[in-house]
Amino acid sequence: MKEMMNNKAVGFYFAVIAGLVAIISIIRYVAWAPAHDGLNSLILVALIAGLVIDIVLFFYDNSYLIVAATACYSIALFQLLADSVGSFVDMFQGIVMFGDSTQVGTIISISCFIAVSILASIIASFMKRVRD
Amino acid sequence: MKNKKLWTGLSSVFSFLLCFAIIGTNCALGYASTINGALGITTSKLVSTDDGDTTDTQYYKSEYGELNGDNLKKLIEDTHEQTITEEEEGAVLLKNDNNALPLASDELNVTLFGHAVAQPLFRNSSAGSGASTTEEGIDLYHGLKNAGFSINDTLFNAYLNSPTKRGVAGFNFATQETSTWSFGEENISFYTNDLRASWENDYNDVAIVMLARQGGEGSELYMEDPQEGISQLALHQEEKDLLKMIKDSGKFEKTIVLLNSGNPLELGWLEEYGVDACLWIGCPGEKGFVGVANILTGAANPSGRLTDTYAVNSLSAPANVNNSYNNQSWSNLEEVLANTGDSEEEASFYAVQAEGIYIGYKYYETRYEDLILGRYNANGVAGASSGNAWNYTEEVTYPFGYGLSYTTFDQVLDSVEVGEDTIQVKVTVTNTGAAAGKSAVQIYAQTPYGEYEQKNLVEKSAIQLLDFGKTGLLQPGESETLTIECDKYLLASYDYVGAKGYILSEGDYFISLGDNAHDALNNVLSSKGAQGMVDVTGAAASGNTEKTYTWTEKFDDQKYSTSETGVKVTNQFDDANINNWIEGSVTYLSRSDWQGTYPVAVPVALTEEMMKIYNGELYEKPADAPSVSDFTQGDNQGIPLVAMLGVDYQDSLWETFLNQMTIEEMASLIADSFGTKEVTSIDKPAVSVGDGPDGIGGMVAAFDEAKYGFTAPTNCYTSEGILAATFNKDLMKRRGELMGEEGLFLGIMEIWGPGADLHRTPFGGRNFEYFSEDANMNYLCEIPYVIAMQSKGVNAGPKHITGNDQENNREGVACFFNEQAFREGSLRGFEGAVVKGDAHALMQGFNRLGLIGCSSSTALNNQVIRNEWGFIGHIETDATAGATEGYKAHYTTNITAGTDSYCLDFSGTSAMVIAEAITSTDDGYLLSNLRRAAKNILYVVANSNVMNGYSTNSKVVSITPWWQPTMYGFIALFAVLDILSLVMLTLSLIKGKNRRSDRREGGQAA
Repeated sequence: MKEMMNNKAVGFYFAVIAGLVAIISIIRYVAWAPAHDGLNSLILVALIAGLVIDIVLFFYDNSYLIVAATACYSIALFQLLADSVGSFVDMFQGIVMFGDSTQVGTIISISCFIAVSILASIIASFMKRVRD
Repeated sequence: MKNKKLWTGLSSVFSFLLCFAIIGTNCALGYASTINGALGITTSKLVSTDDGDTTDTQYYKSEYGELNGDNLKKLIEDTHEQTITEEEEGAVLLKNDNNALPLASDELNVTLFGHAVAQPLFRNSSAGSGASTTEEGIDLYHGLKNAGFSINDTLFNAYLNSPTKRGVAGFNFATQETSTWSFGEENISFYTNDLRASWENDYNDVAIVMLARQGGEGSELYMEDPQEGISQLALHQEEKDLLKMIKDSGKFEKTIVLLNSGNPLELGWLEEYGVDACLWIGCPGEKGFVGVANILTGAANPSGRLTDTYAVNSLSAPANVNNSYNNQSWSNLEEVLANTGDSEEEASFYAVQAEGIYIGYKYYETRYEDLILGRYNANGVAGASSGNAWNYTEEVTYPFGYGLSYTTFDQVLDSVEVGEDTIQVKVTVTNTGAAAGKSAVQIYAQTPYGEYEQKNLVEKSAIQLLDFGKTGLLQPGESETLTIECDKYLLASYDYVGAKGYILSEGDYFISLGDNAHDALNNVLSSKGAQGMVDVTGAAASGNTEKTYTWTEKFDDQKYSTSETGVKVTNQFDDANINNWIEGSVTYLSRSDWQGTYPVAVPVALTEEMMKIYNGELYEKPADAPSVSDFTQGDNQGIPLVAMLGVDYQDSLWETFLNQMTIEEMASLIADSFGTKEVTSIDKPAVSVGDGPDGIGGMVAAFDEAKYGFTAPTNCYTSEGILAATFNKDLMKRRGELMGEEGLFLGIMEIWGPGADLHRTPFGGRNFEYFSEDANMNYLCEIPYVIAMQSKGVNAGPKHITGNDQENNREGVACFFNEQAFREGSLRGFEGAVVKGDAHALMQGFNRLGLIGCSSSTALNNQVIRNEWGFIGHIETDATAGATEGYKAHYTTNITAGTDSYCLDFSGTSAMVIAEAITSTDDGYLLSNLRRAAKNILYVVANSNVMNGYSTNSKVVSITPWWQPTMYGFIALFAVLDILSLVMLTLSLIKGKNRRSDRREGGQAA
């Protein structure tokens, strides 16, 4: 294990950060969404797929996989925001109709976690993840 | 290696952007109409095929002339002036000891108290105009400044800079304001010694205290609020501390309280804190605070009269027992939820309206009469706030119709002529005081409550508003005689037990002229020879028999047994009476025994049969349903929509016209997203609608800069409660005209408003959007408003029909009632709008009538609204938001029950579901209902101002909004870049692999 870690470059650690933050995103999403009729399996699958890819990247580096992880997290983020349009509309209109404006804070915080995973994945993509 | 990193990174970036473009485009297309509205894009345009056509195509003309920027400015000025006038005439002076108001010119150094002065409540949160912020509106501070007041800026600025904020549940991302409810008054510690010093020697002519109570759409006011666990309408500790501080300071010569609220506060504390004058100002809208300032200075003389009872204890009304926050959940809730496709929020709650007809003053005043007459256990403890024998003075602070003036008036009942259908009342009003002013003339009635009524559970309010009028501005000593034609129909009672229709009771009828409902009742009691009456202050009162007129009627169950359309009016809502499902479930409040029938919480367990209906998907294709092929589709006869303008609804040309359309085209009309798309085959343009009622909101809430050279938001008028409190039908008419004019300048075909529900309890979150606790008041206010708006070619759509008057649990709440209460209460405002006002649109409530949703109720939509009332136009749901599950998604049930269109269905779900159901099951019956819905919608479009400019030579051409190809372009761009990056990544990987292979081979060779 130590030998394997000695072989890792900075980009690897960004991928690890992406995966760790994705775990938080998954936990928060699963804890929040079902209670607010907001569970979208596409979001959950995308988050889990991104995490699985990051786990695979832990053992086996592959450029396509880090691109795929970015795509998975991106799908999760934009789908979450798309699903939450009604809550944002309610918030800006000051009404209770299309969504639940009181959940906007939670939606934004989950979105921020996913965005961190995306950002970390993109940074990892531009960097070396294993030493030559 | 460098290339590999670069291409990997770029692939990630472009994948990210591609996901954004694809999902974003998909989402944007679902909200296309919203985006188009926000961008000011119309998806169709008019192309004239005959330039030589000289036909005048301005079917609805503006009173301002041509629709241009200069005239728009005049209109805007008039809307602002109207708002000020409404406030001046609608604000109600509740208390004015020693003529504390108006303020003299040497009393204008003032300090403004209460956090609301820095956060005024122009309106509650809801639909309607957005011109209600301090940026658009004139607040109290600036209203007073402009009127010449000198204001203590030290305290005012401290309020402005305070982190304290009043809020309803919600989160404003833009301002980062609280997501939870907050009362929003300052703690007494806020008033530091430095602040107190600011009024020590200056700004102490008058302390003006403004108190606010905020609700809104989806936000009921609390019966027990989170701050103190007391009624939100009661005086709270921070307010008590503030008022005590002002009183104890001994610095202020006068204390004036302004009530900035759409809901009536409990006001038993005014004496305790030495308040000299109190003015209810409601929600003043964009410019109404100017009117408030004018009242304070005497530039305007208040003439508003309450349209709600101000109870000592806001919880004392019987309607509070089962409504608002006192809804119950089914006793077998788990079983209900296990058997429904609805969400828990939509399926859990019900409200048994055990109060019957006794809402607002109808309760307090009727019980008062029975107390005075010593009958019906009116003095029982049930419902008594004190816990002792019920006593009027301990229950009511200010009655319905109450209000003071800076002058005095003498009102003389000149004559009453009871005709076959109307009652003509002549009243002469004389200004007997020293200031010019207007006087509201309130005509009340009492109808008999005898043996028949008691036997058949026909309830009677001891006093009821029959009609009203208002004088012009009368100079001191000047008189004016008003002749008011009252509708005799309003004296009829609905007998759901015996006659199963409207009856005129046998016995003595009274007309009474009163300063308010209580005064009018005292006059009636006086005519009956009663003793022991009290006035609103609790002092002995004798009544005035000269202000009453009495006559006798025989029992008549025929006169109103049929509606004006000739349809028999009989029970339609027996299934909304819980007693017809489970015998003896509820005892409705009856004046025959106040003590024994005062409402209690009503437990209900749904039976299996009830649950089947409650689940709501009731439509099944009839066995004899015609085939789709039995209907003609797509048979283009070249009849454009404009050719249907003015064509009678029953004309067979409509069938020929509809035959031109396909199922998909008709279905596209029912999915309303603050407007409908164009249908080029019939030259129907894309149209927009506005959402009211206190101003025009929705997608078109501002005037088009490209068209008028400037932009401005639509006006925010005063809350409907203020408009009603003017008791001035001319002002109601003018509001309708001006909103219609705004609609003309915006080019919208209809406005969702006015509101027509009841102030069933004082806690209704949207009470500010409805006129009154009194159904007859609603009826009378709707008529001039609707007629005037529609005269401009802008259709009126009163909302929300009906049965629910609360925001708590509004989505899906099952409302149970008896039919008398429903017809004489919930339905009446809409009845006025449709039968007398000819409203062309109606928006339904979210609630259920008994077990069946308003949108699924054939009894409501087809039998009552269309058959009895003769409604022509379209009936729309409240916001379905394209629901795919739950009770809002019962699209086929709803359309076959008379619902025509689906509100805010951005995704077009209703259109897809219904078109699919028709074609997949060859359901001609469903298609016939879709044709009816399309006809109703197109009838309304055709008879609106959006047809201005169209002739039979006009063609409608679709326009693809620029943002849609742009979005597709981004998808293509990012897809290409992503693929290129991945290809380059692959090449660099291959290249790197080859290089490594070469190196290995080179190494081996070496």
